[in-house]
Amino acid sequence: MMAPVRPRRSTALRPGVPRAGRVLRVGALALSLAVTGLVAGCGRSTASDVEVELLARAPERGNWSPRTLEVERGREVTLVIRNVDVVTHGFYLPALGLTASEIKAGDIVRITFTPQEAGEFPFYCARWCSDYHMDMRGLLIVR
Amino acid sequence: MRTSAARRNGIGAALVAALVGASCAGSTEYSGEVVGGQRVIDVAAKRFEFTPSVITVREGETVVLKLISEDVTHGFFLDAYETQTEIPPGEARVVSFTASRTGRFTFRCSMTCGDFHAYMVGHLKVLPNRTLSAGLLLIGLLGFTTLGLDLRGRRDRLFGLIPLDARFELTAYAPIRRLFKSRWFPLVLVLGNFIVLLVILAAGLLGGFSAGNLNFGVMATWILWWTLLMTVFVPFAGRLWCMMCPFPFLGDWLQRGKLVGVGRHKSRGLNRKWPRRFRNLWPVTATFTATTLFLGFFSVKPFATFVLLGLMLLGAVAIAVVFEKRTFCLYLCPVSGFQGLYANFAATEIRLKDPEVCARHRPKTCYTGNACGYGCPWGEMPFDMNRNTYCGMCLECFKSCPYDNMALNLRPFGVDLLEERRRSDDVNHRRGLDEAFKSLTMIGVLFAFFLTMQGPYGWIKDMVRATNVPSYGLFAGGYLALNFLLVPALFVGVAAVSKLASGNKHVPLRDVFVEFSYCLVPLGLARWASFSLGVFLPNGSYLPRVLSDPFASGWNLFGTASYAWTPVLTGALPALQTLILLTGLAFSLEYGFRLSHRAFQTEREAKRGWVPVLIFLVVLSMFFLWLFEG
Amino acid sequence: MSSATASAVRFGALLLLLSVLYFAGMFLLGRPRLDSVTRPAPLSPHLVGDELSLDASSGVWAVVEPVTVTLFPQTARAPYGTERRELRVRALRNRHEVAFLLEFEDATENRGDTPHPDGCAVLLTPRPGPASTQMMGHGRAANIWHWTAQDLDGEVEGEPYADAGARELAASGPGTQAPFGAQNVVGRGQWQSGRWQVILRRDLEGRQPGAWNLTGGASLAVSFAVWDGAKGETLSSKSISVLRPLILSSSSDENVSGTP
Repeated sequence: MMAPVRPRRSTALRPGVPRAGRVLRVGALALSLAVTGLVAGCGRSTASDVEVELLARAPERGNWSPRTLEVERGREVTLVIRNVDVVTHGFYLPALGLTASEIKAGDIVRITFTPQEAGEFPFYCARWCSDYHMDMRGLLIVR
Repeated sequence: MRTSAARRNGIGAALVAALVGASCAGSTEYSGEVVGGQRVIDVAAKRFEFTPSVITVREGETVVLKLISEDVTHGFFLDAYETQTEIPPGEARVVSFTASRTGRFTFRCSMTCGDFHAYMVGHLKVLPNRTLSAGLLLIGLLGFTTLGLDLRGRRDRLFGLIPLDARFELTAYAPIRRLFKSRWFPLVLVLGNFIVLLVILAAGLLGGFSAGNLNFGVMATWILWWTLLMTVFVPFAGRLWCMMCPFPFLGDWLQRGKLVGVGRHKSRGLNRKWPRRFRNLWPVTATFTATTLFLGFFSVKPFATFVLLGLMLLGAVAIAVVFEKRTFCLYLCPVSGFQGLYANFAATEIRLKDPEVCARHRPKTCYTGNACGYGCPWGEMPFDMNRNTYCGMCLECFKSCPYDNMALNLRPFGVDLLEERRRSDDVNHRRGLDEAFKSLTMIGVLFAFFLTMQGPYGWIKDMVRATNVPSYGLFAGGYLALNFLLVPALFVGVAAVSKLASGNKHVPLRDVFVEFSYCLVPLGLARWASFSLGVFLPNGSYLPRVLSDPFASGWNLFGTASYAWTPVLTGALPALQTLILLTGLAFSLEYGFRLSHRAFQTEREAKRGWVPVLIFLVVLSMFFLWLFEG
Repeated sequence: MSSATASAVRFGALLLLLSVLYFAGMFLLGRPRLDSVTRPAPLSPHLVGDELSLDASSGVWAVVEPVTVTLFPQTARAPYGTERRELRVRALRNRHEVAFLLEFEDATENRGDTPHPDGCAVLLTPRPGPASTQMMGHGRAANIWHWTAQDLDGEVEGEPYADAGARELAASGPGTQAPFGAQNVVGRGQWQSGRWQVILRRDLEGRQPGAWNLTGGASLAVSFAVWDGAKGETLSSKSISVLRPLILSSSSDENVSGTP
């Protein structure tokens, strides 16, 4: 039984950094935009205004981060999955039929979807990545 | 004389023939099995090794590799044949090719699979390995020919062509001299590099424990900077890097109180002098060796690079507060030692022009400083400087000399290797065991670096990356023993044989050991350049990606953020490495015989004492050729 | 001690201290963090004197409490599994045999007459395995006791099976599974009001090359799999558990074999 969902895009993009650097990164990005004006194509602007960042790391290096995502029912959301690890991962959320079977180290994958049902849906790494691959699990909570 | 020379030549020829023969013949075990006219080989990939790690096939065969992963997603890229595939776990992939190019080629993991991903390689040998045979033969012939020429007598000119005292003064051109006299130069370079250093530190910190091959800090430092240092800066321009190095910048500023203009000549810090006993290469040999022990961390983990470079930056400031001038650069910077020693080979030098001018000039403003420039921050006496070792090319002497008596010269490679000690050198105990050990330890360091980064054996990588403490301890112990006991002991043996052969019973063994250690310099530099190319050509293509997005934050500054990993010219590596090693050996042999004349007294002693060292140099070159290509 | 020696010692000590600190910091920070890793409790078959009945309602099964094992969708290789499930496992042994009773929820009974029959399996692999979750004994030989909700008799020519639906397979990774020459596993499944009860039983002795002995002292790990035919699950599309140690105590066993 598949929950109704509209997967829109799944675009492999570019490298990621750990969460600790987000503030500096945002600041640096703003600076770069202001100073250089060289920035081009850092991802097409997505239709959805809600972006949720998800870092992928094997369980022994930090696991999914955050391990629990919260989104609103009926509102389009873009999941930005950054592989900040040293191995290839994947993303698989069976209840909503969302799959990115390969996210290479350093890459970013964006998945845009609109959850239509409230509930708690587990997601998994979809590429054997570690002795603890099966522990690389997280939970999407749709309110 | 003629007959003994002929006999020696005969021995040399036999040695060469034996070595070449050994590399070609012998019972060869080919990998896998021949099925239906194809050589089929099962290859398993796991972090960070392929099994089998060395694949041997025959020229012209159709080779079928069945690839599986025993753990995470890997990839397979074969140099020269340019074939590439992904190996996802749980699936078998097949790669096939016709083994048309002979030689040894490296196959590499092409999908980031862990910290040592970039070092996950195996070797494909397509026999007969003609590149290796040709290389060994050429090395043998070079040694043989040089010996023949040397036995005929001493030659004044380098390779019989270039006079050793040939110089071309670059600063004779007014724009260059003006530039060198400007207080803004080389400060602008330092400032630029300081900004780059800050970006590297930020990228290292933000990168944390993500993949080093995708991190700006790791790539800019250990791939770009290191390769530039070993292939361009040091061999051609000596300590050119020291001219623009950002690490001493903050310390200089603190000591001088002025950024651009001339401020205090005496630091307000403790201004202590480095102990006289240690004004040599021993301390930098220690710091370099200690640093290289952590190759398995800093060369692959962004955070480890951050901590290492951060410590160096802090250390440079702290030392500048406690000690005088550039004490950090001279006696503590880990990369100062080999740069200093190898700078003696460089084709550039900063020297005085006319000794008469200096003799009349008092006080020596190049040493004491004046309103236009500081006294030599490196503690040199520019009016008496005859070697590159401790010249950081900071250009202060150009500014402080009121007579424009300093010059930047182009010169034949390697002439400093023959330089006599000067008064100022003696004070600092230079050209002694410290420099000999620096030269010798660089052999073992390269051996360990090569096996770790370009060798096929996973168990060595596991030791270096410290999968557990005891195996790391084993690596550290073995590494230190190799560098400070085994290689030096071998060279003591060579020096002893040389002394014995020379017939001179009075020359101290120590002097023979030290003199001949300098002929290892050109070969050492060639070895490191060859090795660095083996790191840069396969991995340089990560640079466009990290340059466009240094903080991995989604930038695309140059539009190259999605640039794919593409090894460049790796198929030509064996030929390139042979060429570079041959060049290095040619210089080593050229200077070795001259050093023999310095070690021994008579022409006859010098000739006889030279032969064992020449054989050692030839064998050492063959060993490294075999390591790189065999 | 001369002042030069003292300086050298100070210098060396400082360098050593820095080196040790750097090494310790990098080593400790780079170590695996296992706080988010589950370490499943070992499974120990309960020793009984009676026959191990293939009937789940037999009194012999009432002597052990079931262990709840969580199954996750198989996500190492496409097609992936679809569901997270709870499996209740009871394990028994007597002096000759080992048996597992697997119970799991399944709203519809899909037998051999449907395209995708329901099924379940027990996987045994040597411990310490290549990995706690590596696929189907990848790189190592695994034994799989596979039960499907169909009568396998006569399906494969020349391979008579002892009881309906159960097969004993050898595997060393995905796609490598092959039935053993001699079949020693018997199995029986019963569906009742939305729940399967399946019993799989085998001799303690492996009896053939590649089949693990389950006699005392054997060091094995076990995991479980369930297929729900109604969801189109077949082959790699299934739910699986993490490997857990299988403890076979040797204390009361006469024919002890293997490591002490």
